[in-house]
Amino acid sequence: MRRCNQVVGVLLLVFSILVIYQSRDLVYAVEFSPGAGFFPFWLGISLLLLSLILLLNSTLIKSRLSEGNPFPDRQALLRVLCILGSLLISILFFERLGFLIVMVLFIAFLLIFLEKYRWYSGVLISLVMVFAVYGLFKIWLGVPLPPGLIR
Amino acid sequence: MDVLQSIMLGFGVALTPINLFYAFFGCLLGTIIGVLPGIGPLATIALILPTTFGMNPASAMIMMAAVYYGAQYGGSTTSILLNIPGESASVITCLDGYQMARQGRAGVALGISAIASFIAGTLSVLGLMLMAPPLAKIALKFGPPEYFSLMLLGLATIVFLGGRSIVKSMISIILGLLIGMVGVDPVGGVNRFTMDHLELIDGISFIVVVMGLFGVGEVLVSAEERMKISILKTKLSGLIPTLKDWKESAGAMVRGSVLGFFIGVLPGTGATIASFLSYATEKMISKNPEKFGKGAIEGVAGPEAANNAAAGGALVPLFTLGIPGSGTTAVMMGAMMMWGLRPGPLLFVQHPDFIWGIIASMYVGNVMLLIMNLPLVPLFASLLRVPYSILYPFILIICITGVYSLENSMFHVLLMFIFGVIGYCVKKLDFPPAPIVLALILGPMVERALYQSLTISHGSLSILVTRPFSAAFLVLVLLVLSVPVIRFLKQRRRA
Repeated sequence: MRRCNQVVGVLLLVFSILVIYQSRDLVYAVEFSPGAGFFPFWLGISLLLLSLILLLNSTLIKSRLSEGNPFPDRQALLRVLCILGSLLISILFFERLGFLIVMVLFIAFLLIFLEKYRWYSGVLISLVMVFAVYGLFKIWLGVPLPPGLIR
Repeated sequence: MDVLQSIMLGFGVALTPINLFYAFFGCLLGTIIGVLPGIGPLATIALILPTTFGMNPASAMIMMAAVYYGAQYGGSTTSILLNIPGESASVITCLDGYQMARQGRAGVALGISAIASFIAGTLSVLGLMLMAPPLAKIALKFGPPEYFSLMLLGLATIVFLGGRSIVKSMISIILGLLIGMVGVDPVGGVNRFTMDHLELIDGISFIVVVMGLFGVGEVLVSAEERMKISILKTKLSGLIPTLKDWKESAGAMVRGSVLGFFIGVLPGTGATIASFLSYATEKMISKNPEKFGKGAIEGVAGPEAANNAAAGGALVPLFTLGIPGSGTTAVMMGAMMMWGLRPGPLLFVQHPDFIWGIIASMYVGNVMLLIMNLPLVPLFASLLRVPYSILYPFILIICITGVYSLENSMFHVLLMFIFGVIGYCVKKLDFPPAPIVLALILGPMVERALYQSLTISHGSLSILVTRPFSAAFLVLVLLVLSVPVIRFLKQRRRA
């Protein structure tokens, strides 16, 4: 956790400098009152100070709270990456292939490959789930969902 | 209009069939997600938000409020049967609730927590009803300086109470405020941090952030391990407590209700802190404190009363001041603004049917929840057999579809994905996520209030300290912020 805090501290430090730099392009003050750049500038400064405190704290003070590694072992991390990857791919193909196809494939993938359901129960559950959501949003609420290939 | 007349108006709204249906649906949904670990009221309210755009705002708010207080009922079930809190507000119920279950008193524990929830829920609606109108009357006199100082106070208390590390809570708040800065600024109409994306000119919708942080992010944290849940095999008989149980827990329920309500009213606090404080109080005043942790019924009744009362209390600042005190009420407030209502004291004047309809529906909802929870507890407990492996794909589809339905744009869905990754990291690194949401919603309001204050005073900051209410709030901010410093210095001296 200490190493994590240090890394986060550095990242936040860079981010805050970016914010301060960007906010200098905005007007700092107009007549009588702060301008568009006032809040971002001071928020950037506060973030800079806080990330410095975080860095110093995690480097100098050994505390009970900062022990242990918060991130899981390789296998669990692989599961998380698998979910994230398939989610991203589904989002990218969402409009092209359409709601029904993408979502059924996405859920079936998660259930069959990640959760080790049998293929027929995986397909069945995903069909039921996707059509329930489709019914709620498209039919009941009338939200336009991308039709994709099924027109 | 006096309170009696108003509440009659409210019941007129709450008892229409459609609103009864939404109250029932909200209570049911709240209980279910309360029972299920891994999804809380904040995420649920955000998930149902896209479905409410076509609804009457009063019906939609009745449903959301029901989810919020319903979740406090359901949360205790898993704590008692599994030793896994369904909700953060039920963490403390595990201590004695699970012990009671192991001693074969699971039924009594579930029964007393439903009854405590009912009593506290009803008392807190009563408190809300009596306290909100006079508070709203005072708040009507508030101008921008008072609001600015009050919001500062809200942000300061959430820092103080937010998480284990004060620095991390503060960073969360600043990140939330910065996300709120994206888009056209409220003063000069300049684009800020839009990075030349047209989609960002309107700012980042809080729905995108909440679905990312609490939907996708929460799924990732919970899905790391394949959860193995083993339910305590026990007979759920004897839900009705005996006279002895009543005697032991009656005091705890009343104390928990009062404590919980007032803690809920304070900004930055909420049901979780209320339940912890109630447990500590009960243990302190108990004649035999050694019983706690070994199945003391007061240790279930008190906290369960407190977390329900806090849910009612948390609605007081939302309705009277238009300032949310927690992540969940912040989302509710965002929802009200999307429906075109301006939360705050004027609601009592301009939309009495809306406000009083919700208050009245909370009486009805609490009765529904008691009926639902006492005989149906075994049914809800069996919900725990729904494996998380089915639940989380469902949450993910709802997240994608819900965000897409906002603007029909994939840009927002991708943004939600990014916030999902951020949410996962934030939780893993022990940054509290709720302050991000609160700050995101308060951010533009804080900025506008300061701008208006300085316009009134022709640029002099003294307006913030010369107006008595504003000055008082600022003094409180200083007091709240000085507590951690004093604590730090004390620790130093001891070391």
